[in-house]
Amino acid sequence: MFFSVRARLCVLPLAIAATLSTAHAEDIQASESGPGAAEDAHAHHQHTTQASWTEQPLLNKAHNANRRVKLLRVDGLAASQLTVQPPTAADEPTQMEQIPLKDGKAGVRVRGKRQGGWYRVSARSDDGNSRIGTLVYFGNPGPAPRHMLEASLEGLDLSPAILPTEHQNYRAGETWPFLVRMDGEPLAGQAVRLETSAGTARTFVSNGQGLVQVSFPDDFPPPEQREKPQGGHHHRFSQQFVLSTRLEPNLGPAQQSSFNYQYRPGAYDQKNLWLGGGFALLGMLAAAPLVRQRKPKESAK
Amino acid sequence: MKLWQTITLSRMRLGVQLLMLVFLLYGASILGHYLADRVSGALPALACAYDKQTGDHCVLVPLQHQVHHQIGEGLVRLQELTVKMFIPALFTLLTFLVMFVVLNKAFCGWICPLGTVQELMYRLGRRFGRPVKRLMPGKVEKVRPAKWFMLVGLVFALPLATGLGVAPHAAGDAFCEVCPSRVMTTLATGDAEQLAVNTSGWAELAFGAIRSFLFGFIIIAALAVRQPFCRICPMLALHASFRRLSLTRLTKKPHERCEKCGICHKACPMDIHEIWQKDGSKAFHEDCILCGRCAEYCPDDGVIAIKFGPLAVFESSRDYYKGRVKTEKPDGNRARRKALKPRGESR
Repeated sequence: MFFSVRARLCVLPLAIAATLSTAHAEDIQASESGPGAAEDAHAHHQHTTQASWTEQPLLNKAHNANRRVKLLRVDGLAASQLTVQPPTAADEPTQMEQIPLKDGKAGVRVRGKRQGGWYRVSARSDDGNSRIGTLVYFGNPGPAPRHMLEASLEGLDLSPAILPTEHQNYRAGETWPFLVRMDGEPLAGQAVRLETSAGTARTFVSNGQGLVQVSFPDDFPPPEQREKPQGGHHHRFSQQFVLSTRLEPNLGPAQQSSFNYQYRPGAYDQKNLWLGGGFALLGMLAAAPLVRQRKPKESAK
Repeated sequence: MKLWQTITLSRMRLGVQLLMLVFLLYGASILGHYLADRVSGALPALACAYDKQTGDHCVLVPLQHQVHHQIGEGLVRLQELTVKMFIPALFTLLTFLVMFVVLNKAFCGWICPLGTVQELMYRLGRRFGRPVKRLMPGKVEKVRPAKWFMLVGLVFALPLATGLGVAPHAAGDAFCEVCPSRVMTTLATGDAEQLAVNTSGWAELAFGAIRSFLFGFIIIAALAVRQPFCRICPMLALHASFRRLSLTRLTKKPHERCEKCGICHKACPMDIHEIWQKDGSKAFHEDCILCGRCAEYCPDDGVIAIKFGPLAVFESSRDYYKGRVKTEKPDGNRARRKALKPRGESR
């Protein structure tokens, strides 16, 4: 009896494992929000002129046509087309779509019916020596961007090594890895310069694997001086940054690659840990009477 | 005693709970940065999306976002009321159901990280001799509606009101704002950010204060009260709505000794008296988390069972009960072992 009961117990963990594995096969998260949603809301109101805070070219998000199309604008770079790289599964070939620019603008369209996730977008100068890249997020289910990021672009390529996830974005005070490659090969000892729209500039150097650890500065103005973000529902303040690197080979012209995106204030911006700890302590005190051992009454003796 | 003879349902459940706790708290660190995005966004357990290392996400996160951004905002824009607006929310519920049909509320009793931590705290309470505070019939009935208020109010009404523009933005994911699992799971990864209270507005401040207070209260209360937060968790209510659709369920046959026994009620961490007083489908109450303790502590053969379809995965037996009470009392306290007699002493 004991054995038969225990043998049947084994079915439960097996059932749990089977259930979780079913989730792998499904594209299930249909949320329209996501790691890029806040940036989209903010970018909706970006200026349409070349940014004054950097001399680097930028790929700026312009007005969104709809949820399936994101309009991008190239600033400071003479380019005729955008290269869009959608996220692909590991067993899928890497896809690169070329979209012609019209008046420096082009719409990035969600792939297939509604394949969401991160899309990598870049523009290369007509002379082929300069490139600017950014990210676009569609809030529909899609493959993880791992396979997409592994594929390197031709020439000098500066790209993120990992991408933000839900509730985990580029934030002040955090360090994120970026990758510098030349024709697909990691580039060691390469200087990468960070510039922010608040005026901060820092330089980092790539390691042997071509990885550069970029620390985002806490250069946000005090909350009361921040411009209130308009539109959308993720009303979170963010600033722009651009990373750039330049390679001057012995032969041939210099090459430059940049990546621009947004970053948010730090984890504890407008937050008070002491206050949170105080309320937690208050909760503990409120629960304390429950765990007190009452003394037995005299009459019970 | 051989190893297999020491395996009980409770020990197996604890093993699964600990395994899932590690997976859900640190899974992305071990198995890949994007794991949570890919595995699911519809886990019927409180696996927090604010945990940067989590292996999966709780269903309540996308559900609130969809009610807020799509249903609420869609109504405001007065677009055509098409099925497009509701499809994402329906997809989330559908995926939730796919998992739920297989395991039912075992997600609460076997997988939920907050449930596991509360259970570990209760075990700690036993270790330190803290009293057992049970909610007896009458009191437990007063607590039960709270989970429905949490589901309707915090998961649906406030996010919808935010989408309609009549509630502050902070209420767009109102349940997440007060969920103590958000604090617990992130603290477990060494991140204190979610314990901090957002002071940028009154709504943010109020939500943060409630969240931190609840976390503190739950952690200490769990030393004496079994599963204190589970009793008001909206996930329990969401599960309860669909529990009859699942293949996994609890069954109880009527038995002549049940009326005077009631050990199953003492063993139940959710203080469900119906498991003692009722039988048939009424015994499988909406608060049941399918932990199986009632079946473990039922002293009669085949009266209470956990079934998967027609298969009894576990059913009560007198032999099992005898072995179980030797190590642990139904209320979770350790059974006192008989003192060894000094050598040479005779009766």
